[in-house]
Amino acid sequence: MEDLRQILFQIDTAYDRVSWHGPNLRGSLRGMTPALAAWRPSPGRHNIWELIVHAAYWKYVAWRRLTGAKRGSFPLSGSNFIKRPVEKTPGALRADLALLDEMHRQLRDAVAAVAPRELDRGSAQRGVTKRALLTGIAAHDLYHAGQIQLLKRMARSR
Amino acid sequence: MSVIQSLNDEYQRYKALAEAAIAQVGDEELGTAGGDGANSIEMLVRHIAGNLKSRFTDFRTSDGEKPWRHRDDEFESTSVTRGELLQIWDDGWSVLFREIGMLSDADLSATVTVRNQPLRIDEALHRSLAHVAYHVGQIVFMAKAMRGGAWQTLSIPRGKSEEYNRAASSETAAAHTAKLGKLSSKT
Repeated sequence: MEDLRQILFQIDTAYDRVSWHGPNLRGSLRGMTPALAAWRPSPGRHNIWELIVHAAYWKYVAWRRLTGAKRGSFPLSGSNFIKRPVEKTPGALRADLALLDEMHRQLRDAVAAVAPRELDRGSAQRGVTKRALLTGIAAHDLYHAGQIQLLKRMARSR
Repeated sequence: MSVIQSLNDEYQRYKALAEAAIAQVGDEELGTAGGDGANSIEMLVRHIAGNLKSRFTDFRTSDGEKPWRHRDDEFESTSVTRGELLQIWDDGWSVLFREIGMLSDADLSATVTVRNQPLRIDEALHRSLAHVAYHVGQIVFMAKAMRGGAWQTLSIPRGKSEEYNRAASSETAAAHTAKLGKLSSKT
């Protein structure tokens, strides 16, 4: 149980629980606007909006690999980096933020249901234990939170 | 896989990601601010290394924020060469890996302190990995902006996600780290 508590601590603090290391992923998105989310530092570079959907997609993948669920249930078509925005509206941004929250909740619920003895057994990702999968997905949130903070700063300086 | 091993593998992955990004930028670009006075890659390298060196020197027996660390200086521009910068980087990481190498999962519930705050060792390691991942994401982002179209991707190539997902046989952190290491040595 202690093991599971630590993994949930990692996942929670990387996403939306108070963290020591500065903004976590959800914190980096606080007050986000469609214009800011859609801003690109140069043509072809990802914008914050795409990072939101990318993080949601990989939470989905982690959930699928953790639970062994079949492919094809991610609500959007495409994978990894999905072009955004389709519509630059507050409603469209809210919908993608809600998708991120939902993919996080789905993953967290699945993690909480893992038997601790299962953590060091394989996931549906060949060669990767459940523990390694979950340690990786928490770090992935922060990797992109750092980038979102940088993008916000760059956008506001233009 | 032990808890320590999984953390060690992720640390190695993020170290390799940063190194593969740094290898792609020119010497003068290392000191270029990320926009609007934001940190340069050089500053982030010194900050990550300074943090690791402070946190993990005498990790079990002294506070993680050492009196000899001057954190604010890590964000000042300097005129270090690439070689000097990479030496600072390696020094910080070597302290971390030496300490991790001496830990086992049985040590995880023991307590260390950071700025006088007691923390379990596993929490201290998770915090540290989070800090590293956060700033490595920024290093990679800046390096990619500097290289533009000549950037060699460090993850899944654009438009290749489906192909990658069908044959994702080497996705362990260690396998990813090894691929990144080859990329760093080529550039």
